Amino acid sequence: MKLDKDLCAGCGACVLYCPVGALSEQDGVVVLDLDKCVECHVCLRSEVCPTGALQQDELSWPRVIRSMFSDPFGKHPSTQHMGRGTEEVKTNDVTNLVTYGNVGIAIEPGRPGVSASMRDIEKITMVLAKVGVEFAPKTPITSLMTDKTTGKLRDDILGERVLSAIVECVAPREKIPEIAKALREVSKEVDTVFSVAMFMAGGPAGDFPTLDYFRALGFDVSPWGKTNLGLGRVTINQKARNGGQTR
Amino acid sequence: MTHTNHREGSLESLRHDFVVMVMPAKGYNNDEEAPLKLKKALRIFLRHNAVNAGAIKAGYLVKNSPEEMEKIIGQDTPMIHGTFTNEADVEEVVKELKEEDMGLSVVVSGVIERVWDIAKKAGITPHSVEFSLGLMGKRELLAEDYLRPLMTMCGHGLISRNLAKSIIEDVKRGLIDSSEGARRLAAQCVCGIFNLDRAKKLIEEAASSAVHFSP
Repeated sequence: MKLDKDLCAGCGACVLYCPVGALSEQDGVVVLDLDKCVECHVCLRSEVCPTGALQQDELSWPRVIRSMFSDPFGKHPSTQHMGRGTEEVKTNDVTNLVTYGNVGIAIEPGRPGVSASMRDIEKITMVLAKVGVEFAPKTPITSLMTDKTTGKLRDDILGERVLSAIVECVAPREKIPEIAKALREVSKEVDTVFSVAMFMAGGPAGDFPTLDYFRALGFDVSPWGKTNLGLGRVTINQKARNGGQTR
Repeated sequence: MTHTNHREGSLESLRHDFVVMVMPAKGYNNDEEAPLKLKKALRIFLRHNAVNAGAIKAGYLVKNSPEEMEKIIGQDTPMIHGTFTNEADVEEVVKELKEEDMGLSVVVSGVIERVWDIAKKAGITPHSVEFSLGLMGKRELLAEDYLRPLMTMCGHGLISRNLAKSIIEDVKRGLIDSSEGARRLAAQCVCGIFNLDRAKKLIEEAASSAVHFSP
């Protein structure tokens, strides 16, 4: 984003809309803090600027990372999806991304309303890698790793900030207590917050852990969750999915 | 994405908030019929009193008419959401989506106990569940507790704490009513998952409280 100081009337109407406090009013002048700005474009979409002083400039690498994660209309080359993660539990009945006996883990640094640096996100990926999780392929964060066994992210993006990003990985259910411990430890080292979600398939009998199971592990469990009803089915044949090659 | 999965608020408030999502899986069933199925799902949502609806590349009810949304929905529309306040409406939606047998994934976000009861009544055994396990890290960076139930109704985090606070103040001062306040917040959430009914109540509760504001 850029703020054209010649056009800015200093009305401050945009300040309210910035989710990360990058816009502020100082002595009757609006100031845009480019380090805080995550390029979510909420200020632009709000259409409150009466003079067109807020403008989208062309973003180059690595700053473009901010927009790819923070603007819901930003498409990731890794997923060809708009959004900060993948389909995960939403289509698990069709994709079987996480099979019975395993757990899908979705950690979202920066959420809600705080934002996170890529350096902090890397702390989380590296601690999860030590536990032995498998990072979900073709996710925005996994695509930025230089080593999936250590969770190391590209050095050139570590200085960037995003509104939030989703670290997605899979592990056997037995590893949940170990993962909980690792998350508690890294939570003391990051300069942000992160939301924690875990998802799993229930098998034919609908076998899911109880909320008390997660409470006993120290999680601040919400009664809220997402339930995939299992009404989906595959209609595109496997050969077509694999680009003509049957696996 | 986990964007309907981390709503905050009291159990009583959350019990009146549901998001139903219908989604094709890329490479598995996002065939040429998928857009027609998403349009059909949107009609089902609206027939059963959805308070909001939409998705990226579909538009959303606060900004677009249902007719406009149907025109926008195409092969690149990833999903469609319907947002509901009443459990009985969600029961009807789930029943109808099961009968339609579209073959797309159907995900219901809400208080898990209530959603499972709805599934049971429709004769459905859930396939997968995503649990919301709270927040970790520097909690002192978070917005105030009374703002987060409003902010977290946009899973992309597009509702700023300052805007939420300002709208509550405007309602408190009688400059706008709570419906207009809810609409202004819902306009920020481009997926149509912001529950305007619930927001209206949350704004009224916050505006009537003496705790948050100086005289």
